[in-house]
Amino acid sequence: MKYYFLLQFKRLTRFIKESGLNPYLGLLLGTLLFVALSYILFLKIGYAGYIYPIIALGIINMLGNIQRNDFLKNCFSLNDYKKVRLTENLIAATPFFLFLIFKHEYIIALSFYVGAASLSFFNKINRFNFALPTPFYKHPFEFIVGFRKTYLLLLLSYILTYIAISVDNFNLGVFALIITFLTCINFYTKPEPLFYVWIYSKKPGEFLRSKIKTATIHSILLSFPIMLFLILFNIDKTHFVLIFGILGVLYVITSLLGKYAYYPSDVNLTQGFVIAFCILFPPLLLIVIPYFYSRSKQNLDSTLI
Amino acid sequence: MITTKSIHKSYGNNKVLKNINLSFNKGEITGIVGENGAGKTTLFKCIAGLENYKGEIKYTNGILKNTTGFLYTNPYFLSKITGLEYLQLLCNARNMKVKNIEDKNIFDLPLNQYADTYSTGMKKKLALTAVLLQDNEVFILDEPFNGVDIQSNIVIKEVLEKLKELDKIIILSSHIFSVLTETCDLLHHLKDGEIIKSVKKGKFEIIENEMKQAGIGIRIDKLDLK
Repeated sequence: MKYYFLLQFKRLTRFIKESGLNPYLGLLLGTLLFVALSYILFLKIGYAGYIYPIIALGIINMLGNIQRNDFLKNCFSLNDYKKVRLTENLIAATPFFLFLIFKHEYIIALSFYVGAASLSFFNKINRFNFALPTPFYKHPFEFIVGFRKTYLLLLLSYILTYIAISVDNFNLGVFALIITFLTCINFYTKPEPLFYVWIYSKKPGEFLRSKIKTATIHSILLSFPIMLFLILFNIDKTHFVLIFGILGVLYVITSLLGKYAYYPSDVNLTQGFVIAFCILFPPLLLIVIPYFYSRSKQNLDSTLI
Repeated sequence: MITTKSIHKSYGNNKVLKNINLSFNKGEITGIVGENGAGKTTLFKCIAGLENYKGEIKYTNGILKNTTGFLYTNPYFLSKITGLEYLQLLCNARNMKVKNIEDKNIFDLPLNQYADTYSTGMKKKLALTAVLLQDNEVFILDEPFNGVDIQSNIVIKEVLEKLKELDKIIILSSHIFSVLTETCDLLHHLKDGEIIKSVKKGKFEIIENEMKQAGIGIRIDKLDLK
């Protein structure tokens, strides 16, 4: 069991190294980013004390992936398997727990920790034959896969929009919009196997443009209900909603191009930081999008003729 | 026609393919045999344009990659994608508008289930259906018969015959000699990255015997099984 955790730590440091960063610096930057994002969430959003642990539990729930757990069950005895799962969940929950303590949310922190520990006894149910219908059938695959993996998060953002309108909290509505776009950005963070690019009989530019078109239409489709209701109930803030909408789509496109700019390598920390900087300073998109586009085009040249 | 001229491929110091000179003709089924790790899949990937290589691959009928259907030994499917969506994706990728994809489900696959939940044989059948729907001119089939049930094996053999009739170029690998004997017109023996023998239909047993003799050296005792 000890070797397993050592191996996981090695994998983490290797991932940071491959991103071109010193592992310790990467860990430090990761910690700072986590604290900053948590801090911003509490600063900007009402009910953050409730939303924060829900998001955290959603992230921790990913450890319940059925294939991963089948592998663990194969490796360890039943007792050790349970210990591994519990330990992993508690390790993953600790940063969120500490931040909740820092915010003096003691009861929520404790409940969250118990919740995270309890999640270790359940695995995600994803083996049923029923395939969740999506509106993206004609243009596989990113939004079909992403939608099915994150539909609960998308549902949460729609519920938050409803709450935002009910309690007349525009910022909460914007937060729901941000969640939706962050979810869409996430659809493009994992590079697909080479075969799934090779199959296209398109030139790199043509391929990228068709991907951008699909990403734009589909991300608008997912965010449209939120934007519509925010505008309807906050007509004076229409321009804000539209700006957030346009920026959201641009970030999705940046994420898409970022993936192919370094394809087939995994999306690395440098790209993550570039996108994070773009979020902090949107005018950077004017440089980053053309740069990623041209780099992607060059990069795909050997795969797509 | 596809011709490969002096194909070399290395991973670091490991030379995987050495001076491969082959030609593949229309209306012919060419088999490539070799032990595991001989370089068959790498050769297929080079022909398909999925790997870089030294040397030259010529195709007389346009851009090879845009008209090639490649069936992997173990096809990989993205999670949360149904069989139907996979077929749609591969058709979209070739700008093809296929109506009623379900009607072309020759293997009776459960197309509305997630493809990654399929059994090994079903995955292979789905991947094969996809490359057949693409109207390819060239088919590279890496062990198409492995893991597939008897009925489907028969269907695949018939499909190969049909493709041959339609003047397609078919390259395949298999470890099952009876299948190769039935389907192939030409067989190449790949060993340690080199083509060491090429024989025409009717003489495949020469390669089969060579390979059997090479296998006698397996030393199970080394495992110290108890």
